[in-house]
Amino acid sequence: MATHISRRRVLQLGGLALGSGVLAACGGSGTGSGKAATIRVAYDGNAERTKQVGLALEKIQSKLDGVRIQSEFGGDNAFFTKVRTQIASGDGPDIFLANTIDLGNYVKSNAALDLSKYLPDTIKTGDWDQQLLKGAQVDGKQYSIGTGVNSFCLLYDKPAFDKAGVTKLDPAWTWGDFAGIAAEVSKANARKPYGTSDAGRDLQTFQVYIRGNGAELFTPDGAIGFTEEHVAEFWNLWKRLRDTGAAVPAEVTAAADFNNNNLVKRKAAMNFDFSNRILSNQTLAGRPLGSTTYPQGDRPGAYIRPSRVWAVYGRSKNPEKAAQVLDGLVNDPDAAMLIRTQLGVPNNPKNLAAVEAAATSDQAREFTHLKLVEQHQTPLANVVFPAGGGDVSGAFQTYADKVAFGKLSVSEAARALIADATKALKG
Amino acid sequence: MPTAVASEPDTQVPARPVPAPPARRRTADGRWGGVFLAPWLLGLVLLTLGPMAASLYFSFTDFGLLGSPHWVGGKNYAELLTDDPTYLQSIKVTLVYVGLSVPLKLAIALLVAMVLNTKLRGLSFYRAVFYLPSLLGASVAVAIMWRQLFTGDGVVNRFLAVLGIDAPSWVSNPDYSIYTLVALAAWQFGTPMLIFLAGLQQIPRTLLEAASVDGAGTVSRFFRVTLPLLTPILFFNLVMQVIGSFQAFSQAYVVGDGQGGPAESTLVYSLYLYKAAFVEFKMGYASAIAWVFLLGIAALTAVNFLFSRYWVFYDDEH
Repeated sequence: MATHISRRRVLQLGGLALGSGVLAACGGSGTGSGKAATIRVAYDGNAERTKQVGLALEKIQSKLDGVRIQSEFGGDNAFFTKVRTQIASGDGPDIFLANTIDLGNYVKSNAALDLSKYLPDTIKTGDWDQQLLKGAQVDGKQYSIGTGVNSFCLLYDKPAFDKAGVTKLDPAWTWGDFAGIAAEVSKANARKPYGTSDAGRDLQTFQVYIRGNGAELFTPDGAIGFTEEHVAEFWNLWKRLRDTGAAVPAEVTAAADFNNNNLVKRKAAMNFDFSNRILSNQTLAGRPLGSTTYPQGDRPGAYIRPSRVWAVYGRSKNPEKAAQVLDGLVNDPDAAMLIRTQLGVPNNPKNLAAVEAAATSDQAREFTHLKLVEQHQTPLANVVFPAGGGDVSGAFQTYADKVAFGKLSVSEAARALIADATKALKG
Repeated sequence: MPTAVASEPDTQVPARPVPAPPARRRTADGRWGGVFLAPWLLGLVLLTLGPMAASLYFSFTDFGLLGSPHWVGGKNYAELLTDDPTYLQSIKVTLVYVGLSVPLKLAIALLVAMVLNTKLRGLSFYRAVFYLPSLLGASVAVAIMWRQLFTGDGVVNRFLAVLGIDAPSWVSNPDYSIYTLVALAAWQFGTPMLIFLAGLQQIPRTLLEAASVDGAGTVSRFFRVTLPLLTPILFFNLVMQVIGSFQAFSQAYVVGDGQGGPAESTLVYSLYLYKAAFVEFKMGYASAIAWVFLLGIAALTAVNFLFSRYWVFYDDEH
């Protein structure tokens, strides 16, 4: 059923793209004056999440006058491709789900609307923790609203840890502790699974790493905040872990992805993930998973963050109505009980209490983890990456892969990354 | 075939109305011709020439996406050619891909066409079967299947494991990933095969028989008679396949996970173009990439035609 709708939608879009040139030539035809304004909402996720968000949107529609909500959704990469292509053709969805890495690029392209004027009346954020709003800002403007709260969460394979005799993890553990445990677990399990998946290509893990030593990814004005030495140190750590068999080999990393990751695939005993994904990973893994904080340096590098962000399309014909729908997504109590923690724990304090009270013991793990991170964190003011941040993330992966596959040395790759990142952030 | 085409106008002549005076008729015909051409012309101007002109203009601007473009002159082109290692990498990947996949694909196509040109039982069935992969052509489903086949614990490696060979993960290793794309392209040899088949059936039997009588074996008959007579067809296939391979996108997109990965090993030209436009939103830059591409393919095709006079044999030029 779902595929049927999306295919029709694709055909419609094709038709629109073909027709738009002709229509544009005809001059402004009267839209927007009709009874119900159509608000298109685009979001991604696994089957469970898209279903629940869809139900929440139906609920929100029933409470709003003159709004017809149209859901568009997809999984992972395909979703971002679709939204980007729609936006590029001038036909973006009124509301779309973005991540904190890419939002800056949308903002730079004027694809995201500054929502400041809808706060706090249309989008009722009066009783929110204001730090949560700040986290979703770019250049001090409210280009997005956090969907909910999550944080970094290292998941591990309990049976594999038991086999190595590792039963208790200190939440204030260091990267050195982590490397030792990864080696032990890998050895005790004869590399089935390996001690850890390879997070050496993940910019956000790198961020936690360097924040633990007092550095930041970006300066407040959106320039590069780290040095070649930071990168080399991080990549050397992962190179050592791979070379000693504590971390999975490069090939295994290249064959995995975010959902079908190496912890789920039983190739690795640890994976760097996020608190709102404890349950889904648990389900996919089919064996008991433990959770703890990311390792730290001189201080914790982790921080509490918006899980994802909702943005309103810069060319939306009905920004006011879109803001109303967005308000429903982050504040409506019924919607909150449907979405629960699929997009992080709710920002709205009343909804947060209600969702937490209704959580099963499994679901409660997410809340427990967030409370743990709250005690072991270094708060970060601007969570959303600046424009070009998404490109830095892509380059980080590419160069880390080149190191992992022996195409470049650590120092060559680190130098090239700094050059690319400087260019991406400046340009 | 030729007779059927030639007979068509003849059958229509009696059905036409009584001719008007020639001069008027010509203008009226022209007008109607124009009317019938209009949809195509409109399509050409609005959907092809218009966007092409726009893209040429954008290639000289810093056009992002929704903002207004600013003229930057040749900056995009300069950056592309002098200050973008990823771009050079994409050219390298593309040349490897085209250089390997085109000869391989043509060789397989010719070989299969020769086999199918014999008097085999169930011939039409085999022709259909061999053409099938090409019908699926650039489809995403085939590329996904390919990825599954050649992944670390995929079917191919399980088969090799039975033979006692511990093979690498083909798609996840940058040393091999491009070859899985080449193999995929070579597997889709159906279209050139059909064209070869048509060409082979045009070769006069008498020539081959005469060669046999003169004592030529199978091999020398192929190289001395069949292949020379087939060169125009080979040339046509070569030109089409080179152009087509340069534009390969969807296979690389799927097998390389949308990133040209691992480690940019499957980052073909059009994929890099796509990433510049739809991932980084650098439309001006992407337009410049596209225009260099167009010029590059045009130049290569010209070279192809230039060299063709040295090896292509046309039956009618004695």
